[in-house]
Amino acid sequence: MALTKDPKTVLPESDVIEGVSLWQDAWRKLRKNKASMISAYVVLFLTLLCFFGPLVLSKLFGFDFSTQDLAYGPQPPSWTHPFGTDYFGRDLLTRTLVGGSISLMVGFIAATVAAVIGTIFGAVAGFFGGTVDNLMMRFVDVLYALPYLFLVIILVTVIEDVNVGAIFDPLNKVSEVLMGLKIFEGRLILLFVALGFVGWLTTARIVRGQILSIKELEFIHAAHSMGVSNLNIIFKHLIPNTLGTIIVYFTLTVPSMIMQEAFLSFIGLGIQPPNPSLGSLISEGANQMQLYWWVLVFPSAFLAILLFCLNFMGDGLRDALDPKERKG
Amino acid sequence: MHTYTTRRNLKHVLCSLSLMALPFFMACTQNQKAQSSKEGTALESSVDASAYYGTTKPKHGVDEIWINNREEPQHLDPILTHGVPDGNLAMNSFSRLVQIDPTTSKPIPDLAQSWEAFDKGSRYVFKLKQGLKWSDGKPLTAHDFEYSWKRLIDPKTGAVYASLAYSTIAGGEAFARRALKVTGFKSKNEHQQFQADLKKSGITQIEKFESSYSGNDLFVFFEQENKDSQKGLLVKSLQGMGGLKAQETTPDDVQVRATDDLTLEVSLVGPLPYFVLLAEFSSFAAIPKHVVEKVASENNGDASRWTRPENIVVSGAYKLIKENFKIDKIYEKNPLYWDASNVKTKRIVVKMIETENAVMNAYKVGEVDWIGPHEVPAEQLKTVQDFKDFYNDPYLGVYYYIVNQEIPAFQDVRVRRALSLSIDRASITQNILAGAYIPYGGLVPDGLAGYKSYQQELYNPEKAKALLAEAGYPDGKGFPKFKFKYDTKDIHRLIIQAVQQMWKKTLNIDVEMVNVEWKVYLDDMQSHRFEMSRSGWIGDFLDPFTFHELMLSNSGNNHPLWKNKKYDQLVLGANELSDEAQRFQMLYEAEKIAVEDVARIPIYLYTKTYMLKPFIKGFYKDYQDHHLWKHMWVDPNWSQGQ
Amino acid sequence: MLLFILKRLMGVVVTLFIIITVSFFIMRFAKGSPFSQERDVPVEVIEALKAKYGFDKPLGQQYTQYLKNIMRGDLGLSVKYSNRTVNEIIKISLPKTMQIGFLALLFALVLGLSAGMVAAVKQNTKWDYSVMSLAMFGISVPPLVSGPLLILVFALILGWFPTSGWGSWKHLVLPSLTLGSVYAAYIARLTRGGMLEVIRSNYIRTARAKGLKEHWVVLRHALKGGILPVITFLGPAVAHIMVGSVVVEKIFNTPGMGPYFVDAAFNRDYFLLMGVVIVYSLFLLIMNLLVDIAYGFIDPRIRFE
Repeated sequence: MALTKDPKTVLPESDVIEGVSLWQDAWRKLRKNKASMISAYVVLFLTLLCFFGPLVLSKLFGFDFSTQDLAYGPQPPSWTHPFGTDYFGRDLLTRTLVGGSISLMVGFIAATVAAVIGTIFGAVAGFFGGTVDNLMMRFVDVLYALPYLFLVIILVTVIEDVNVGAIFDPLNKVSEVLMGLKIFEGRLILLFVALGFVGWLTTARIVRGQILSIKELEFIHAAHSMGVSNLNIIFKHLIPNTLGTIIVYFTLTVPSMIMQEAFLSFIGLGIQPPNPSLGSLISEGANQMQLYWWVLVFPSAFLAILLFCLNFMGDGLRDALDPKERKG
Repeated sequence: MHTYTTRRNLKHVLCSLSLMALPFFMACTQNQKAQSSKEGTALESSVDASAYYGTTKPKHGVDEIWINNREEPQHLDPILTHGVPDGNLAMNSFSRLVQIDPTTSKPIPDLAQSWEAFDKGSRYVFKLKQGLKWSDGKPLTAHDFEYSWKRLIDPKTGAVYASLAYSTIAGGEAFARRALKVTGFKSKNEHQQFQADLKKSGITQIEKFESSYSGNDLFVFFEQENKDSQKGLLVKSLQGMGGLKAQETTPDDVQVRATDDLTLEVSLVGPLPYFVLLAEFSSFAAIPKHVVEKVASENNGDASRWTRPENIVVSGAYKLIKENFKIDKIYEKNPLYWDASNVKTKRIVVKMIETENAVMNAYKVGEVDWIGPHEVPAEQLKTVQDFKDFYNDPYLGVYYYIVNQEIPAFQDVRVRRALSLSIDRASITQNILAGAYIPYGGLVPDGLAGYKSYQQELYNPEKAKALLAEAGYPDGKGFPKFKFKYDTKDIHRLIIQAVQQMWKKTLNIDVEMVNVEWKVYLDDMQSHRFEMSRSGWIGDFLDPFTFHELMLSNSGNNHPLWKNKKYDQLVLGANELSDEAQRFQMLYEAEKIAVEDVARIPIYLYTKTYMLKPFIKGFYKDYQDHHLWKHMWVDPNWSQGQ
Repeated sequence: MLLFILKRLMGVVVTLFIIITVSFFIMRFAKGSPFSQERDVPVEVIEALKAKYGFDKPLGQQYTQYLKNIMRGDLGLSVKYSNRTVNEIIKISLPKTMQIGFLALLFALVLGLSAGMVAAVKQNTKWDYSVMSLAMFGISVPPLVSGPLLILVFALILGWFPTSGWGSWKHLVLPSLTLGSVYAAYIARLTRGGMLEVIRSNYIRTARAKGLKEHWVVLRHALKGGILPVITFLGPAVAHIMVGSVVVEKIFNTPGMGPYFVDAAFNRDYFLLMGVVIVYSLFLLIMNLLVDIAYGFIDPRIRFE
């Protein structure tokens, strides 16, 4: 039914009442949530620290993440080395920061890839239901059961021959200035692919589950009867209503991606030395825990703080985006 | 709408962090405590128990020892021994003709009573002891040895160490590689003509010819490709030629023979002075033919179950009683072993703890008395080496780096020397490996059976720089960026990280580290698909030849493809010398060539680090890290005898 | 309902078949052979070994032979553990893994569900915060770290439990705690999140309006809705936990099935890897089926087509 007259002339009061979109409302609520905002700032701070810190440190002290001093060896925290040094005499603070930046990238990018693919896949499956759903979920089952490690192994050998550096050269130049290493190397790309490859599967199942329960709600039926297209229903109604769960799951996925990288480091397939990642630092440190506790404590604590804040951010986002709490 | 307050948030961050930190602080204080507390030895002793790593009281009785063997073995059949864990178990259950005297490192009789060498060491005759029995009471004879050695060589058996036997025993290679035997010659002089005729006949893929040891027969070895069809062609072409016949080689062509129940005669491919030492290797044991054949007949020809506890029959000091897959194996003294009266301990429990950290923990609380083939993890060396139960013994092995000699840059000896001279080995062994290993400049362990090795300069960065410049890469300019492949093991990673830096610092070259997993690494080594890599060699027997033979031009283990005719001549010629001093001198000359031409870049001489409880006696240092259980026993009063 | 289950079971068979096929061929793509050794192995020996396992035949033939063997329940021979068949290895190791898995799951569910419920009901109080902080601890400390930590404290320092291995109930405690703690944390968070979503939705208001007591409201309505994401999560999680965590089993040296996923891959032990993949897939598919059935009971809004 098309409106023939401007609402503002018909009903002057409507001039004052402003419609609020989902995202504006969310932003407003998020800002009110102190804990989430603080967590967000902490994450932002740590991220900046990770990406710019190493440069500062190297200018001030002359450290970088890979200079060894074998005779110096592993030393506990001191004024020159606030986090101590590792087995090779490398400054642990710099390594933690560089490792943090790599882990953050791995975590976020892989988790985002997983979330996007998983959400779309799960929503489509849940929405259409029936045979489509069945087939899509069986596909997920197959992928889930495949020997993941073999895929990683194969990807490693394939990626070794491809010169990814060429594509990412400009970005690598920047990272070399900032942190002293070319971040975008074969192994990193491999990690995005391998981790994202497995990560989206659980998101898909979760989203599908949520969609299944939401799609029978009245407002969906209403949308249907109003003639809203399927695509719109999926993207404008169903997914936003699942965003809460998607985001909670996203904040759970980022740390799990980082842990997966730690696992791959544990068996030798992750980020290659001398490049650090929080995962590889932790897995090295776990071995030396009884002797050189700082090698484990600082990277773990760093990771823990990151994850903490990510989770609080996630909670805040979830509350902010909850459609049932929409105001005005 | 919920509100989180800053204070509460902060409280929880702190809360969790301190929760996490608690165990670490506990660990720190514990480390200090461990140094100063006495850890319960109930014995009145003057020994400071804290000088030992962990508990000093056995968690078991005195007629039992708990050891670790690293992992579930692949085979318990000594013929099929695959590696160290397999070998350790096999050598305690299956005796060979000789054993190594733990105090002198010389071969002494085990199942053999005596032996004699003939024809300058091309033929050996072993005499067995009288009245030998298998653990099931059946007599053990020389026929068992003949059967076992032939089975070792038989390609169908699939023994990985077959080459140790067939490269030394006459006729062995022909059988192992399924050569064809051509019979009917009237004399060996006809071989030449035959070979020439063959060349004209169109049978092209012949690798080599070899005259048989006795008789006038000729062995024809074919190349791998199209082997069967080529062989078929030869057989056919000789049919109806009157006189000559081609047939498959059989075990009878292998020159090992039991001339009677107590006598074993072996004819070798040439004079091999080290053969008796080689015969001590665990794969040269005798296996019970009657048991193997019985099990095979019960299982469609598959004999693999003959080593199960319910079937197994042994000739050695210990017999397998029970096995729990991947957990442990229980061995008990074999009362029918010829030397059973000298076997001191009744029961051995063999655990299979796979990781080094886990075994150190287990050792600490007494779950194992000896960490076995594991090495003490590199990171723990610095702290652990002060304990009295830490040992660091010489080990028969050299660790080195290799560069692929098919790459032009590496064909220049100055480049290789530059790479070698810029490695500060002392710093590596001192700082990374806590002084455990020995920086080395030779390619054969010095002192092995009295052999003196040729050593080269270890570290000279100035000279290295000069050499690289001379070779055309001043200050590293223009030197290609190579990939260094290594397999996933902590110690390799630790060393190569340090060396990478050293090469950068001294030579200004960039080397990229590429980590590949074990199977891929092995594959790449075998097919020479690498630029630079790490490698090493643990000797198979106690004679320098086991190291020299690696670098022979035709050795399958010569991964970097370094070849030198003069070297080959010297090494092979040395075998002809029966005087040991002369032989070692010739081998020395050969080593000199290899070292000066940087056939490999030696890094360090292996040592074996291990932990052993102080109450275990009868444990002798051994160059090959072979420690037979039959010598070991538990001394409950060990502290008195300090 | 029954029809649904039958259809899904057929789906399980088909999916399993696809998994087997894809895995079988993928494995051969990776470089490296099961028989590579440190020392040079004679070609004839390699050939004899290949013949023993059937690797000398063309790939297609190997595949059909493998399928035939599976029909008879024969999963083939292991290359690394040459004395044993894959069936034997799985028979020996799977029960051990399941014991640890079961304990870990019990621990995770009990701790996770109760923690999540408490947190959701007492939202924004100190209960909520402390529970969620502990959950954070569980998530941010991976088994890679918590395992050695537990060994350090409880086995080396206190000596209450053995450092590794198998044999008594004592060997089960530390591995299950390590394994379960991560899942407990996830379950707590998911329960809380799911319950909160439901607590504020319409039908709870209706239930409240009806005048029902507070805890009834929570237990019957919120929990049902809150449990949904937990169940979804549990599907693959149970399969995973039952089939073994590689990290935990390696750290504690437990002779379970977990390490084979990594070790068999690295050893190119094709049949062993295929065997454990099949076991894992079966678990996974059945668990997913159960999850979907559970959906139907818990949330009446979901209909089955």
